[in-house]
Amino acid sequence: MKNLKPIREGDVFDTVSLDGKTFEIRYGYYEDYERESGEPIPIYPDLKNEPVYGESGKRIVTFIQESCEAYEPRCGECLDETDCGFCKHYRATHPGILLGICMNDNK
Amino acid sequence: MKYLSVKEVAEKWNITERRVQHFCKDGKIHGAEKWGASWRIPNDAERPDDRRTREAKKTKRFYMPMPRKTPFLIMTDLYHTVGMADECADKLENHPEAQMLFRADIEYTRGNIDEVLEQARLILSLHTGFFAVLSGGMLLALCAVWKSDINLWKEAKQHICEAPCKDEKDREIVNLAIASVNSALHDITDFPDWFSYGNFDKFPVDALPAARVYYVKYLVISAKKHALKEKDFEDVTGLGLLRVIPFIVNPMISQVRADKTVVPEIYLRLLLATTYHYIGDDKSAVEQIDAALDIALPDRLLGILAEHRRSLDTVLDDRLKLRDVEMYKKYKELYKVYEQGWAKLHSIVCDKNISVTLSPREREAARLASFGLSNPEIAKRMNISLPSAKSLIFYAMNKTGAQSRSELVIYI
Repeated sequence: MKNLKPIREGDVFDTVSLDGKTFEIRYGYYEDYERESGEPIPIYPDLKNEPVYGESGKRIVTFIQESCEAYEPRCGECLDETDCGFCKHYRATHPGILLGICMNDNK
Repeated sequence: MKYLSVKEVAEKWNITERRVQHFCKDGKIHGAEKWGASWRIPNDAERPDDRRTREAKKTKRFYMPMPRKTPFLIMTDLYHTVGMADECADKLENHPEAQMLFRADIEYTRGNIDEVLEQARLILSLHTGFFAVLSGGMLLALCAVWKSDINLWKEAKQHICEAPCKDEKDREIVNLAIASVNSALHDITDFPDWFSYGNFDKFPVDALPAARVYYVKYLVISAKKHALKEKDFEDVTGLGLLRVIPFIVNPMISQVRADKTVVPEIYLRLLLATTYHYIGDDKSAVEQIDAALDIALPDRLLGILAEHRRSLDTVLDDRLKLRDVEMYKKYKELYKVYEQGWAKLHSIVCDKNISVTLSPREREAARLASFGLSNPEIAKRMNISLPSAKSLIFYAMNKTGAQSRSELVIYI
């Protein structure tokens, strides 16, 4: 576990650098109503609607964002999934972090 | 306390050493303990009646046969009134073996594991009766889970296997005892087919309340195994099997209430609460938890609650915290011990590394995912956003190393 103290909204979960870009990931909630349902979780930027590209020109994506039309499942179990993390073009760079790089040359 | 050897006692009582050893082996000397190959006897022990003499035969027998034919005396009507566990134990004063077993059972349900371990070893050293050996062995095995002690686990199963069987029926009961002990680690492979169909004909009547509890445990674990695709129930979906369980358990609860058996009712209600929680009906789960707490708290049976915390998560925590903050604190200490012990022993026995570091929400998301719910369904059930649901499942799979959603069921 990264943080053994009680986690509060706004606490830093991790600071991640990939492909020349740095992301500071903080604990929080994706929607206001979620505050009632439990502890905060690491919140990632909306890279689908606000795309970010690394120094290599490759697009940086999150594991859980909705995939594009170029989605190709990386395994048999991923046939019903539609998130970038299950695509064969997705490359995870840091264990336990929902950020990765899309290696599809067309994206 | 000072102890004497067999030779010293023989001299003191003016009888042969062989006679003293027979008394020890038959459990007629209170406090005598097996020490390696010999016995040690408290120096204030009373000489038992030698029933071979005419005079002795006129006196009343002190030691009686076991009052119930079952390894778990606490699951019978011997414990018939809520809040009166210790008083029920006192009433067994004319049955010292049964009283010892009953008290050990009570301490187990309270989570006083060190004391149970000591008593179970003593029972096994003193008694050779079929149900006494089964009971001692099963208590040792349950202690092994709390202690994550693989050697104790193996020793316990050895004792169970060595219970003196008179006939085929006894052998079936020994096999079932082994299967029941394995189910503590969610392994149900050894349950015989006749049991999996809910056929209890082979049991003595006294053992039926305990049989019901183990049968419901078997059903709940079967649902998990089905989610893992390790067990096949044709035409049944992941949650379908769980939805049937309340129809089976509710009549059982009525039966154990009519039979006035307190501990089976607690177990059945907590297992039913688990089932409701798994299928997302937390309102019904809370009703069952509250009813179980009504029965368990007067006698402080927090060990049973700690055993179920893993499957009930914060639903159980919240209800107990509302009732009694002091007992909640004690329960928290107990469940931490149990969860760590369970995870470690499970990992050793099943060769799978079980993580205990999932947060309550990660565990809940993992459970719903393992039973086949989609991400939008999980988000709706947990009242969270879709990205949150996806994140929780990702973290659960990452922490556990599960390769698929269905595999998550092992870790919940």
